[in-house]
Amino acid sequence: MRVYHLMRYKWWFLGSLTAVTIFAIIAVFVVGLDLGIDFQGGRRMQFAVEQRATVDDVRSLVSDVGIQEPVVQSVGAAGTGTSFMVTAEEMTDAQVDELKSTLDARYGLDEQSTAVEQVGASFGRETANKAFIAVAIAIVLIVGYLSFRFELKFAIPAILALIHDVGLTLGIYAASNRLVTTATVAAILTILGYSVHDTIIVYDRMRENTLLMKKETYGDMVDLSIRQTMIRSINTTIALLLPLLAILIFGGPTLKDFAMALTIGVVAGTYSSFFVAAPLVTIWKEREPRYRKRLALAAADAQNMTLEASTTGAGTGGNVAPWASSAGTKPTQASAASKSAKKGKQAKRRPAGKARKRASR
Amino acid sequence: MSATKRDVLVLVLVAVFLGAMAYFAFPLSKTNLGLDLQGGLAVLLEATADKNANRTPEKVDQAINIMQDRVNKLGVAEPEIQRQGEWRISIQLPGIENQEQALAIIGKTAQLEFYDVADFGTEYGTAAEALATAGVDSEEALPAGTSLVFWSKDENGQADRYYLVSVEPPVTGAMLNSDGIRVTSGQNGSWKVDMEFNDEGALAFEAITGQLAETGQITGELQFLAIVLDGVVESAPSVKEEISGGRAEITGKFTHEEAANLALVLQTGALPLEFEVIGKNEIGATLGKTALTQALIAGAVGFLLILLFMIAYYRLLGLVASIALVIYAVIFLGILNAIGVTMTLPGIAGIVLTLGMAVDANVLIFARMRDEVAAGKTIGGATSAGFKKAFRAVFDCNMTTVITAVVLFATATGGIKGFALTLGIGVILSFLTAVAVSRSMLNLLSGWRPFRSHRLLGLHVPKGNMVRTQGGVQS
Repeated sequence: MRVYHLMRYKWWFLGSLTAVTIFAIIAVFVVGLDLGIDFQGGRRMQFAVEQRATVDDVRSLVSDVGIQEPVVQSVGAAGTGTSFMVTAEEMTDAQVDELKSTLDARYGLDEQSTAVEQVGASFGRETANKAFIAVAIAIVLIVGYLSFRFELKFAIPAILALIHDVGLTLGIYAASNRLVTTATVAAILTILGYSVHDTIIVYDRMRENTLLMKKETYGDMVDLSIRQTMIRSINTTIALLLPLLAILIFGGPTLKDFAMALTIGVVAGTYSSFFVAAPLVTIWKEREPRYRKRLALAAADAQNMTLEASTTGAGTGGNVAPWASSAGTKPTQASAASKSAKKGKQAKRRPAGKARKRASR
Repeated sequence: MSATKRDVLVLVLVAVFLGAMAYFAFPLSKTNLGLDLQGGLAVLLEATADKNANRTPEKVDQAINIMQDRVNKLGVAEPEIQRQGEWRISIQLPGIENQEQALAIIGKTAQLEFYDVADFGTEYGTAAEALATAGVDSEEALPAGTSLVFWSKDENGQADRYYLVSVEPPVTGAMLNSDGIRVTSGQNGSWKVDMEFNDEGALAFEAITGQLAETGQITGELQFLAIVLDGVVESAPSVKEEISGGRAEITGKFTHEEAANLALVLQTGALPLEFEVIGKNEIGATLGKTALTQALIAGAVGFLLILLFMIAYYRLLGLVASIALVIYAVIFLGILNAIGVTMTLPGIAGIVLTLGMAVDANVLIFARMRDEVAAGKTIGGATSAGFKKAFRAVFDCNMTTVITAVVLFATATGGIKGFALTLGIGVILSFLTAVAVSRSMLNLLSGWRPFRSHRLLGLHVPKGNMVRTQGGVQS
């Protein structure tokens, strides 16, 4: 299977994903997040009625009771029109009781399926502050842990990838006017912990391949590492997306909200490992003298391309040539030449490799 | 100890533990359900500084004891009253009827005071009127020794009244003898509460009634004694003579239930602090049940999907991982029940999520084994190399999730704390089962015929679909 030379296009990935992140963050600040009563204080009432009603019907009843600026949503299975959620900053006990009796008279209220939640404004602000502090602490601890296990040049890109993941999740929440609840915050913290999984898997391979590949450029080593780990990263993500999918289909409103944020974050976390974290590490690492030297060597001398020395390097280089030349960018003459050189080598080597494999069985 | 013996030992230990945990885990109905899953009323009370000039942590503890006492007297099933942070008390009343009323009783300050009514019992229609008589504009500006109390009196179409009273009540609820409080029937089918004072209270009550009666005789105008509960006048009888013997009664327009509730709060004593409701969550029983059913279905479907995915993709290896996952799930539920965790909706979300994370370790390990087999290793060699090489990445991955779970647990409140707890325990436990259990199983099964086939094991790599690792080739 071919190894894609993603790192040659690292600036493209970084540029476009930075743009995406900036757009998302702008959306958060311009459109604003719809902070629920958990953070602002207020009341939320959920109820089920026996006869079908539309959101507009319910909204007019709610306004008649005198509740200011209510948000009325239909919850439960789509289009059934029997379960609703009313949220407002101010809703007195008397208004709740009046609304209940009006609803009961008009549509038949199921008293046992009613829920009323109330949060004080100062308590809500405190929850919001705590959530902010929790996210900050989690980020610092993860940077610390990654610096300890890898190095700072790995940890910072991992966090930038996390900022992309969380930024994108919040951006989508802002753009689609989804309500942010404490469950959303819990999901975001989980994203912080989980999206570094895929990054760690690539990093782990890079850490290992650095020891094995003494002559290749850093970018080529990263490309190989990504190729070696991409399938398993996708598989671990699928394994997590399966239960999330089940929650999105079968779960109630609270769980759905939670699964929604996680799904966005987990998918973003998977690709950002390859397209944000790894390119950033490459750029940073290639500034180190020894990798700069390898880069210079690779660019300058095509014929004595050091890649040939290793099976892997040759295999990767050879297969990528057709794809790379058909892409819109211009590979340098030197690297194009090196590719054709490697291709020749590869053709000779492959049967030998196969034979060895067969013998070992 | 040989490798085989070690693997057998690991599996035997796991089996014993599994059996013990299965005892705790099943039937699933044993699990404590949170209010969001069974319906009920949850309230968060706070003793705010602006209402309580002299709040101390000890007083919060006292208040909790009094509340617990009241709950026991009310006979509410399995209530939970817990301190949260420094100044907060969380009260959880599972699925009972009349939750609102129960809450009103539990959280009532119940400060009973007997006041000497000033100005010969003049009633005022509004607070402003009363203040104007006293010659001041605000309650704070009242001369020392007087204060304003409110008398809600909606019977016979009469409006609310205010009284000016002497401050520093001579007799308070603290001077009551809690065993001598009874509900008895009064006039016109109404009910009253009879009270008995302790020695100190009896003397104080005798003194104040004597003083009021004397003033009444001198001035020729009836004097009133205001019986005030939490700043609201319950009744204001006139005093004609000194009352000795240490007995008094509160008559009002009480129904039997109201009188009984009043007696209950007087028996348990006043709360030493005033509390304010800062959060309240009331969930209907059916709504809770629906949420539980939805969560269980989602969990079960998610679980099955993961098993199917693993077996389809990794075949026999996937089956081993699936067995490890089932073992994990049973032990996990057992541990949660054994330590008495109350299961909430976010908690279930945490469990479902850890199911997905639990197989991550196996995916990483099996992918490594594929690399090793592709590089020409035998299945046995690939197994041990796969586990060894994947370990570091698996460990680091789990650590970051444990870090976030700990942060979340430390900062969150309520249901989200439950999520953090299940996530944290689940990730650590799944790390053990996914690595130790599946390794021992694979090692022991390695001699068995089906476990010698690359194809059945899911270790076959489609032609041209492999990336060679140098490490594998060289070692």
